[in-house]
Amino acid sequence: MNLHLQKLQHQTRRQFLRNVGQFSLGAIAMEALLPPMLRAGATGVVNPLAVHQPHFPPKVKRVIYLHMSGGPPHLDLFDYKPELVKRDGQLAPDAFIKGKKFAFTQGVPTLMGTPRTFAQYGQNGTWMSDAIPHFHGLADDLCVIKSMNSDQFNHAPAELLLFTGSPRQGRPSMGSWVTYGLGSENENLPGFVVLISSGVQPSAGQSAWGTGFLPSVFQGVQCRSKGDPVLYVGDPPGMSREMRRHTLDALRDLNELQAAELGHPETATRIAQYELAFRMQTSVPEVMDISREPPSVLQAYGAVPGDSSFANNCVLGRRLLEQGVRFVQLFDWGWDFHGTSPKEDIRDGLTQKMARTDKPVAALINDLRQRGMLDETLVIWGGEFGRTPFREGRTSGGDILGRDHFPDAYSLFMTGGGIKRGITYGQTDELGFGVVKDLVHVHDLQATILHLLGFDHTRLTFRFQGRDFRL
Amino acid sequence: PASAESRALSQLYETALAGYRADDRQAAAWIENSRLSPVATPKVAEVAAWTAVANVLLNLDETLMKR
Repeated sequence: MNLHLQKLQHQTRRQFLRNVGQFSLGAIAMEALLPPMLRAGATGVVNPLAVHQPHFPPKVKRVIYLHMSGGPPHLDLFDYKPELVKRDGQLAPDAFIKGKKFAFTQGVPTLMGTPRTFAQYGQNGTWMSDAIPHFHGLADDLCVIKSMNSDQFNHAPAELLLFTGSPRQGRPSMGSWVTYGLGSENENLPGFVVLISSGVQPSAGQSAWGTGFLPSVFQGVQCRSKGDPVLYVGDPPGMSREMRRHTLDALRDLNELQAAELGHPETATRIAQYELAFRMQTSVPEVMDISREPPSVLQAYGAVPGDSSFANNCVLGRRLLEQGVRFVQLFDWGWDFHGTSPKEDIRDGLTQKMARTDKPVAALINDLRQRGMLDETLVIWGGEFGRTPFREGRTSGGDILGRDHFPDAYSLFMTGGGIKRGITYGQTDELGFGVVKDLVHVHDLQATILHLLGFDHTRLTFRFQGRDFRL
Repeated sequence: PASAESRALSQLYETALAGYRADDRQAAAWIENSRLSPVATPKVAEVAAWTAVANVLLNLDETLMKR
């Protein structure tokens, strides 16, 4: 085979048009059409994470998404159903369950009213249970959406749907889309950082922060709150900072030669990533060190330096946002309240889980406000779906109270810039089986998040295999 | 390799060699970290410098990915 021809075959038509001589008509026209991130700067070196403007003036600059992996029992937290309490123990009405499938429940399930105590808080009387005492004082800050709706009743596909827009793998995640559209405000840190607590990765795995077909530089970077924040962030013995710079210079020169020869965009990405990694070697250990926070702040969050808790991640999240990180994604495991163990009981189990959750979240919101950042930040708290108004089939005969997965109607809350605060949006029927007013599908939530960041969600696209894709 | 490529690599080798010659202990630590058997002087700096060059070669985009 002719090697020269083989080389040409690696060039796609688009790459060719993009890269032809700088003064050709094609190049000039393409330059104007390309998203700014793909244009070369004065030096010819592309910075894929350079800051760029969205479609219209944004309401928020950054996002912190607090994801409770497993599906929090919304009927025991926000969505109070007195009628369900009255009918506790009765069989679920046929009209509500006919033709429906549930993850772990077969036959006719038994209705379960909440065993928790509810009251109204704030000026607009937002309903909240006794499981979330630290949220009571924030009632006037939160927009509680009670009409969330998903298509998927198992964790992994539901998380994929929520974070990538598709229940199957392969699409870019929300944080990747946002970083692709907006770039990063801190050139020493990744634009999209992921923090995980309670020891287990979310069911959707790394696809929940993957780039799919977007350039891989937009992938979420997972940092650890214990030990080295990023594995091998330090230089090994015998490799001084200065020597590292020399080797990276050589590496960059050689990679640039290859980029000039073959013109593959991922080569440019690799150059950019090596350089970012070099800068991260100093910036990351600094930003990830929460012992630099005053004791009063740590106390407010309930954070302890050296832990790998959700509370620590909330402090880290604020520190990262403060440094200009665009999208911070927290995943906390342990919200799958089936009732198969005391930890999954919606009475004591939920109280204990929430005790490690509502305090740091409330502290985060208050901290952002005190620093004047809340109006430019979007805070979201929620799960991939909710939990059934009835007892989970396998555990319904036992003493532990649990609920099954439920995608039809659930609750989450948002606060921050561009959000109407102190309101409840949407409504479910009297037993909580379906949305009766203002349904918010997870795709609507994604569009809202992009809208707040200044994007028309139908226009933030990436062409792949001949088609424009979007979140 | 093309001449520009050899130039970049030999330049790195010279710089690394000067650095490791000036600091024996760094050179020995780098060799140990690279899981090479201890080297008798006076070759320590040379081996350390070549290891740095190899490190670059193994991390090249064209080494890691077929474009």
